[in-house]
Amino acid sequence: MNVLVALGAAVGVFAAGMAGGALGLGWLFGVVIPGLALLVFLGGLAVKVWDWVSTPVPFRIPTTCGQQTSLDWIKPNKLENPHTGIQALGRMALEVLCFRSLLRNTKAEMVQGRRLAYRTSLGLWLGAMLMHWSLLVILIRHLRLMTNPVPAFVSFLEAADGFLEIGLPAVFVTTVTFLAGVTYLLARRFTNPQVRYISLAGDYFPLFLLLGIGLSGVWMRHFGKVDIAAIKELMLSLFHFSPAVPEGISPVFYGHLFLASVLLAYIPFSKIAHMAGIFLSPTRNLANNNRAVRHVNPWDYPVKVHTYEEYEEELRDKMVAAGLPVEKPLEKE
Amino acid sequence: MGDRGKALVGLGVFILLVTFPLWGRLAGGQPVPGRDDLVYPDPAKATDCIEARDWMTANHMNLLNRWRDDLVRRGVTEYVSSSGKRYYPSLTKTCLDCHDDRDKFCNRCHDYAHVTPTCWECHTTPGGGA
Ligand code: HEC
Ligand code: HEC
Ligand code: HEC
Ligand code: HEM
Repeated sequence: MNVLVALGAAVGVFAAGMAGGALGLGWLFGVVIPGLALLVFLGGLAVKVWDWVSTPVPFRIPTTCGQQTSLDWIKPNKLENPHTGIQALGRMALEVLCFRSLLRNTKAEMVQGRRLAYRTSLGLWLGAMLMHWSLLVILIRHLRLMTNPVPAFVSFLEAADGFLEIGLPAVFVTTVTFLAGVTYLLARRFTNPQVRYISLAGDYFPLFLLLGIGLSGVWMRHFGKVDIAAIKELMLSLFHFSPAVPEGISPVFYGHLFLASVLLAYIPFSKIAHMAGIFLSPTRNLANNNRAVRHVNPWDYPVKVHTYEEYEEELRDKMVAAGLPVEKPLEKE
Repeated sequence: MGDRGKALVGLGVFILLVTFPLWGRLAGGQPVPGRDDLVYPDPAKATDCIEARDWMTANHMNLLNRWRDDLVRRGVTEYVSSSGKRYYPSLTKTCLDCHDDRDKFCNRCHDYAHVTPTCWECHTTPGGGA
């Protein structure tokens, strides 16, 4: 059911974009919607981030799994239990760039009929690495459609990525790895019963969007053929704030673009917001130095207290009269 | 408020990266998007391309790929277009016979769309264009 809802939504988005292109709604699907999507994406993420940074963190709560820095003769694990900001940064960088925590993914299996065994399962890590890094390269390569002249790093990436020189236009390595990654991530949710059980429509939807974007992109480049020069004219005119919609752009392009717009606008309100959230997770971005540095709870306010000294000062005569012990004797008149 | 400052710097950097095409043009891009006008063959020589123009615009690389395979691998020395005309399937001898100024036709479009075919490392251009 979750799968069908998500699939239906993604197919619907693509069909709407295609229909828009075919019906000549180039202005709506080529100018207004992408522009709004970009605004919603950046604005939504900014609001999210502002919200997160405005939430006080009363105490350092990093998740750790290594020896904490303590006595000199006990060797600390600097990455698993960072003690300084730099060490926390190191752990963070490995997490963001290499998805280090996915390497800990395990799989539970019954062996010999009735013994439960756990083993490392690196499929998720590999699929996620393929998908995310290819996506980054593809997006940078797409800059050739949005800049004029095209910066050198885009040309370089394009040449490196197309080095196999298979076909005309050449097949990019990242196109293949991207589709392979997305397909694996989807297949994992279908075939692994435990993962399938916890998968919601919100888990499938972004994957279907990415798959749809990837397939329509491949279609445009290798099969259906579109007028790239006209598409570039449209994109450049957008970025020069003088939008003009050239004739004759294939509806598939509008499908591709509408899918990408929906994905962009969907990011701040969905699980994909992890792209910003990972940097602001107090369980990851803080050094575990609670025992070395005093952290004052940010929502502490000055409490009105009545100390024992004040209490005795106030009631000393009565205490002495009642024979109670006092710290300071009554002053003699 | 040190943490808040850091997060906002990060957010700012991210927004700058994402909007690169917007401000990237300020650093040296053309004021108006557009490509140089293409120079078409002299109408006295030809008025139509091998196939319909729109089809050629989008599919000419596939046609070339097919010609290459046809001639080099299968020894086919003739291409019959959908309008029934016959062509010798050659990049230099046929395409560039009509489109004789490659700089002002193929290259103008390719530079704009940022396509860099490797064909000219081996194939020649009549008149010795770049
Ligand atoms: C209307 C613009 C335009 C003109 C004119 C044009 N091309 Fe292209 N050409 C393109 C585009 C755009 C691509 C890339 C298509 C893609 O990436 O899907 C391309 C790709 C190619 C490729 C495939 C190379 C690769 O690496 O992708 C070859 C070969 C090619 N063109 C040859 C020619 C020749 C020869 C001429 C001149 C006779 C020519 N083209 C004129 C727009 C044009
Ligand atoms: C018989 C002469 C002739 C030959 C041979 C020829 N062309 Fe053309 N080509 C033309 C003409 C004329 C036009 C302009 C057509 C028009 O305006 O309707 C044109 C248009 C084009 C266009 C479309 C440009 C645009 O504005 O979008 C491309 C791309 C193209 N040719 C590439 C090629 C390639 C590649 C070959 C070889 C496979 C080739 N042509 C062979 C005469 C020729
Ligand atoms: C490594 C050198 C090399 C490169 C690069 C190259 N070719 Fe060729 N090409 C050849 C050779 C050699 C032949 C065979 C010539 C013959 O048999 O007459 C040939 C033949 C062809 C033919 C048929 C014959 C003719 O006269 O054109 C076509 C069409 C062709 N190539 C297209 C292309 C295209 C398009 C590209 C760019 C994407 C390209 N070639 C890149 C070497 C190359
Ligand atoms: C999430 C965003 C996007 C993703 C994941 C994506 C993915 C892809 C992929 C995988 C391809 C296949 C060829 C290649 O790898 O280059 C492709 C092609 C293409 N994409 Fe995208 N795309 C996205 C956004 C966009 C946007 C915003 C545009 C608007 C200009 C666009 C326009 C195109 C075009 C015109 C092609 C065909 C390129 C060619 O024929 O060379 N894409 N896309």
